[in-house]
Amino acid sequence: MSRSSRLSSSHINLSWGGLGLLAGLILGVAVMAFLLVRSGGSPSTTGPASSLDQRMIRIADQLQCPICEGQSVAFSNSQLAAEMRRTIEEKLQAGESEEAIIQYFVDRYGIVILREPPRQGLTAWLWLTPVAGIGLAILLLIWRLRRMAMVSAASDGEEPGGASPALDPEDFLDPEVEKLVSQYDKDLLA
Amino acid sequence: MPATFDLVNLGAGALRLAPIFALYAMVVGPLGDRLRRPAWILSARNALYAVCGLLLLASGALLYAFITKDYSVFYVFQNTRESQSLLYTWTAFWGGNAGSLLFWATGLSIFASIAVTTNWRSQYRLMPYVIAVLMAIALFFLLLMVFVSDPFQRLDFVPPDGRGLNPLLQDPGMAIHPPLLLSGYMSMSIPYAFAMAALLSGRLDASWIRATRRWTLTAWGVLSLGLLFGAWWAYRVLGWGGYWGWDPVENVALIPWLAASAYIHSVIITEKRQMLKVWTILLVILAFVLSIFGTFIVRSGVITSVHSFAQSAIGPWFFGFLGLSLILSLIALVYRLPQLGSRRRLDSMFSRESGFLFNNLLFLSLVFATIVGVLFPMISELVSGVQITVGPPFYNRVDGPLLLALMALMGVGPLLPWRRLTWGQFQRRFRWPLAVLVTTWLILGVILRDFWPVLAFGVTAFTGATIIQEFAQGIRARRTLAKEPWWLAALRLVGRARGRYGGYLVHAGIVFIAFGIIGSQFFNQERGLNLAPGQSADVGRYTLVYRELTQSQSSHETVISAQVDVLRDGEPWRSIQPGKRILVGFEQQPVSNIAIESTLAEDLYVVLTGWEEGAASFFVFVNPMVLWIWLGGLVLILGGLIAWWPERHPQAVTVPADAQTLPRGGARV
Repeated sequence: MSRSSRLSSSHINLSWGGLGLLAGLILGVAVMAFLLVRSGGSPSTTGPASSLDQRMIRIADQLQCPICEGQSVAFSNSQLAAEMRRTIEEKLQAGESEEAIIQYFVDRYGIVILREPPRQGLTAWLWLTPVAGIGLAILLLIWRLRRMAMVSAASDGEEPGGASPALDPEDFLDPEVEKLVSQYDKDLLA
Repeated sequence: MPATFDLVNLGAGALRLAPIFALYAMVVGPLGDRLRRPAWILSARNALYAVCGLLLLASGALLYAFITKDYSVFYVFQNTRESQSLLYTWTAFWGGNAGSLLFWATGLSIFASIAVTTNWRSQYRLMPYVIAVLMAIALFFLLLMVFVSDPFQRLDFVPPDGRGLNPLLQDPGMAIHPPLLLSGYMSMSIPYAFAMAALLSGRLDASWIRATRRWTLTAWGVLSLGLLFGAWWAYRVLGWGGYWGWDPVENVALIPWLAASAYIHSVIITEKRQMLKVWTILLVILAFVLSIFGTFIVRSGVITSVHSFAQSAIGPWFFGFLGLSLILSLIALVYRLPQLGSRRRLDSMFSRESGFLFNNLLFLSLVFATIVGVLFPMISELVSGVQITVGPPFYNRVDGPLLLALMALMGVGPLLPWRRLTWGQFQRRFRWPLAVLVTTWLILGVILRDFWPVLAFGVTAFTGATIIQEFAQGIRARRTLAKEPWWLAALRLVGRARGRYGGYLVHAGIVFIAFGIIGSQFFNQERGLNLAPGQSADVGRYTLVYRELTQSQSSHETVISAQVDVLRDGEPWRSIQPGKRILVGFEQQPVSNIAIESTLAEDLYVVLTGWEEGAASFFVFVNPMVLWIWLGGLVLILGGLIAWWPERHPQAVTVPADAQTLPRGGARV
């Protein structure tokens, strides 16, 4: 790219298209923010549990089938899972709360029965480790990018072949097609 | 001697001879390079071919034992029986532990022979070390088979019938999923061996990357195909309505794929810009080690899961090999670190270079988070004795947002120019995709009123739009230039820059898959039904009318089917037969015959769960957009093939300046 277009990047001049883009983006983000507030930000998929059946499935889906690895009680074909579903149903009919029913199974089987481990004690580390690791990686990357950018700014201009635009855009494309594409960019899209 | 001589003994003998050749090649190759004895290097190559020949012989012998149903061989006894069909007798080869190891080693030796033969002249300096590294890997697998898990182990007597393959595995999906996955794992060894050879020989230019570009693509593509077939199998056979359960064994198949994906992207920037050399080598080491880790988890039974059909005591061996190869690789890397400086610097945060860096960050975060999820139950049990389950909720919350971010980056990245993005370029390149993003958000926001799916659909649509824009621009340019009709322009565009447009097609496949995943994860409906004959029930827009239970019998199985008529929106639609298959010898393990009626909008998925006094019970799922996942898989594989396909003109032809105005077709005269 030419020197002039690189300079223009420092002053942002908004055309009508640019303004429209910005307005649309703000509108979109506003809609999403509204939806986020409405749904409470939780990635919940089930609506208000109405029927007994749906409440049973919602509870059973939080429990791991003890004999068939990798499947929840809700949709396992095993005999045990079917019995557990019946137990949940009976307890719901007796008016027990969701928490009490889950606690009942935890007391019998241990927390291994929970598909989502609790976030306390040792298992808190399950949640903390990836979050901390990813956070650290992001910080490291940004720090490194800034350092690389700084080094490059300092050595800009004296870099021998590095700044040559020969390698510049998409060197996988036919050069003539590339030329035409950029011509189109200028003529038709601008 | 003649009394005991048969093909099986010959195979067992070949298996015991192969480690000697492997060890020989491993030592003589590098020694020949150090002492400048070309004949020794040639001899090492021939030893590698010999290992390949011996392993082919061993594999042939095992296959022969299967086909002739020689139950005196313990592995054959375990994995087939008289009533097992011919197809699943063949595929029982990799149904267990020892056979999988033999498959791995044989595949590796074949790939190694091809890679060494095709690169013999062009990468001659690397060859001694490529041979050594590959033979070291082969040696490990060979020793495992000789000392721990021997596929040719004999019984003292000949049983009248075998035990047979687990009925869940007797499915076309399972016939092809394991060999694909194992082949994907083993082909990661080739780029790894070349990278190691570059480190060991000190030839650190990018030529090893160019030599292994297609091997990396092969490994990645085969792993992708393996994952897709695994998901397809789970969906069709397991009967819980889903295709991906974040099961430990699924995860360890996904982890190397993620690392390989990171590597494929990082390689581009190393090749084009000579940046991030150390990082790219680290990634190829990681991808290889994780492939071994995958084989180890699947085949050791360390983690019990749906797939851990093969249990044995090979855990410590694998763990030792894993640690050793990681440590040795890192030592080699550190040793060459001073020579691996990158020549170029980063110009701007908004450039394709930094796009690739963020891509790597996201892929590796996914690798890390998934490994934590897989290993945590083991760690918890070791540290505190408390057993825990890490199920889908964890992965949905941790991996989900990372995947979404990756999807967004997949849209942004290809539009970023190398070096830096200017404001003008931003407006031109991002205008239409952003308009698509906002429109999707607005329309779906009004209809669906649910934050996460709307967010995810919008981002996926944005990425889809960027891909379409890239194709449209290229095609328009060609049409004007060469006056080609649009379809010819499209074909030539893809044909002349296969890496780039094949890559975009892969991205398009991922977009389709993402649409399918979002649709089926957020909008599925499920119901349990218990119906007497003639009774009906509604699920979504469907009405199911249960008629009767029928039974049919053949020599190797009994099939029980429920006859169900389905009405859609009140109109008669289709008849389905969800049922159970009971294989002879596995009466306690019936397998579901799931009725799946697919349309582009949604799948009706009906499982027969039981029957009592004429009444039958069902699980009924309505899974939106699942078909998009399989279609996306096809697009992805097509894109991978295009990117993989060798260029017609490998040597760069310099076009004279005055020829540039000629239409493309004229250049062929």
